Amino acid sequence: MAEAAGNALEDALARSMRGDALAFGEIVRGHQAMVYSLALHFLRDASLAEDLAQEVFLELYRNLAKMKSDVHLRFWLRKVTCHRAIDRGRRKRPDGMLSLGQAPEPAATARANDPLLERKLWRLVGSLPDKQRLALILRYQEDLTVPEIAEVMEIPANTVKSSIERALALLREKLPRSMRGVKV
Amino acid sequence: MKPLDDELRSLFKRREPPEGFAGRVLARLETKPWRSGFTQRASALYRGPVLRWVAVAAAVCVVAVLGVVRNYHQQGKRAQAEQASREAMLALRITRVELDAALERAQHVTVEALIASQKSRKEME
Repeated sequence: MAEAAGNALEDALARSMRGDALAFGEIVRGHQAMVYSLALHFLRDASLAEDLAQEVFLELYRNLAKMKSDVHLRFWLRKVTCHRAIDRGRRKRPDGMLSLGQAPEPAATARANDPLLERKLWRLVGSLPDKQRLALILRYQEDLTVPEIAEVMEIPANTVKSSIERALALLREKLPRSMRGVKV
Repeated sequence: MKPLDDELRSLFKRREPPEGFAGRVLARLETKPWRSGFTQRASALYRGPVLRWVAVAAAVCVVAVLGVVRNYHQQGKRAQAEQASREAMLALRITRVELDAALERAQHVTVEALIASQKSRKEME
């Protein structure tokens, strides 16, 4: 299933490079959840996240000829989104935070969570330094390994590892005892 | 209650953007002067290894032709300079001959005047 989707996106990339606008639409639809979610989880503002995601896809269109494969394209999207999100985060107004109520519905059905805990966790994650937050998002949203995160963020793997460890330690310290079980 | 690992996975679950997102991206593409389909196709073609070599060979040819033309122009300029130098030397030579003749005439006139003045002095005595 995932392989078929990958092949379809590979085909869409080839057609898009030949100037097929509809094929570019397929690429956008194929990666929009990833790009939008990275932006949303980092910026915690739905409208800023959509704007940033659109900018990333426009930049992709301009750089389409450089894409070697769908895997390369996905890596490029993650990298550009992360860097743009950090830039945008620096300019963002301090009160531009997204409450859980404002957040769009998950792409897949989420398990029932404790809303109070989730809100607390959301706030705590929001208070983390940019690089720690981004490393956590890439780890838990994209399921990337430490070396993969290092490649996307363009920082050493040891820095990524220590960032994640520090972030998790802080979350563990602030969260109720019952939620602290976590493997790094 | 779930452990932190699971809570984070759930918190960072991928979310779909608002309805019509792809359409809005494509609409922005339409309104901005992005690369035309032609230039995009051209750059996609350029990615082919054969065409890349053809482009490199063409660039080498252009550089070689420009070198030959520049050399030809330099040779022409050198020949013109040599011709001008030869003409200047000739002109100087002609000028020197004219000057010599004028000097000779002047000396001749001076000698004649001296002789005439000596003659008249003798007649007066």
